[in-house]
Amino acid sequence: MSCSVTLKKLSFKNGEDILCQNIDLNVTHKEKIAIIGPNGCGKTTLLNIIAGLQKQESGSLEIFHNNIKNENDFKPLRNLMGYLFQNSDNQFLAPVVIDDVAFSLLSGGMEKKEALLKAKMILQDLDIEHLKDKIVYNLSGGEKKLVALAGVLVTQPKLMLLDEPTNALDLKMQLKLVEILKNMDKSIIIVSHNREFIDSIVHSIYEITPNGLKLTATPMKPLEHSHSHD
Amino acid sequence: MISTAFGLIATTIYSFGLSFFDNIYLSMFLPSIFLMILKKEAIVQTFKKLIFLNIFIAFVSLSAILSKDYELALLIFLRSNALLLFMLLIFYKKTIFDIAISMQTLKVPDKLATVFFFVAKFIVIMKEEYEVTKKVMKTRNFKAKSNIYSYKIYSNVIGIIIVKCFDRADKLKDSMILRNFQGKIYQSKTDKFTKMDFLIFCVIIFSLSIKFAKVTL
Repeated sequence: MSCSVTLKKLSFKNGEDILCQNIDLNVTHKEKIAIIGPNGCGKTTLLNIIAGLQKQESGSLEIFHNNIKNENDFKPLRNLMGYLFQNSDNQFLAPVVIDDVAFSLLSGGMEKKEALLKAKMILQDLDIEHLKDKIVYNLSGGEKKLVALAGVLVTQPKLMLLDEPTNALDLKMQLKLVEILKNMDKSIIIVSHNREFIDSIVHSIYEITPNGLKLTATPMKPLEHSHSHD
Repeated sequence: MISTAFGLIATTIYSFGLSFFDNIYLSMFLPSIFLMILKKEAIVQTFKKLIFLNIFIAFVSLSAILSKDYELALLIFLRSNALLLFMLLIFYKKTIFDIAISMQTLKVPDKLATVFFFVAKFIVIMKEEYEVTKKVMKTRNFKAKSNIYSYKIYSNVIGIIIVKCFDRADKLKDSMILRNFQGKIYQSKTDKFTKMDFLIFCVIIFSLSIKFAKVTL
């Protein structure tokens, strides 16, 4: 079974105290999972460790079967991973929508014309092409989220990490996001408090506890694969 | 329509031109008068902003007045006002991001343009944080008084904004790592110079060339 993310006996700290230990997780190819838990339990920290933004205290991390030991190991995998920030403003690196969406392609060395065409196509897919020439900071919360999502999707990542994706979204925008994520053929890890939202997207829901992850629900069964979890 | 890139060039030329004169002539206000004719809707807003900015100019002029150099005080006052009026008019309704975008048109080095963009981004962030904090103070019934408690609150607010900006800077660094930032911001939009830009350029050169109606005490 092809795995996108494998965590073994992972533990991480918050300051001097161990926040979480014995975290074992396998996220298989095209599987969608959610991680829930109370505030301050380490959900975002875990997501940051998977994204290579923070280092774990102990344990092993494998991304697409590559054992990650240091920051350099993440470099060839960056384009295979997409991270959607809780606050979309933090994600923007260019002032105009189309430029921000095309950013990762252009910095990866793609031809300007091709990158802009791809960016335009992704904006069309998300039904926000009309925003392409707008300044990102002048958009509404929902529009910002969709633009940030477009910036992530444009690189065609195989693994998506979403930190509170429904934050600051109204119901209509949440439903739109549900439809987009539901139809996505990628491995997705969502950290969210919004139970209704994750119930309609993910295959499994894990609760983060000080002593590891606990499978709490399987709202939608994964397609054509069995899920293994320690 | 005036392009932002031209606005930057025009401001540079006009400010250099003004700085080389030892006296102020009314003819130097010609570019601003011309812009006011073009942008009638901007006049009220521009003068409101100019009056506010004059608080700072007054302090500088005051230092010359205190040393009894009234001519210099007048020169500082008029020169600053001429330049500010011109800048407020030429950049009327332009955002800081328009200026960041125009840097690419002007072929400013990538690093400089990128730094300018991040400065613009953090000005917006700080403004947002300030607005939020202002609302919080209002809803929590804070009344500004001239006492230690009020000053303490103000210092706390400044501290909070700085801490929040540090946090946002950390997040920005994370975004750079995740999105494969290579030290450059890519922009597809570029400014195009217009006929109006050329006309304004001619007015600037004309106004700096003729010395008409000297202003003296």
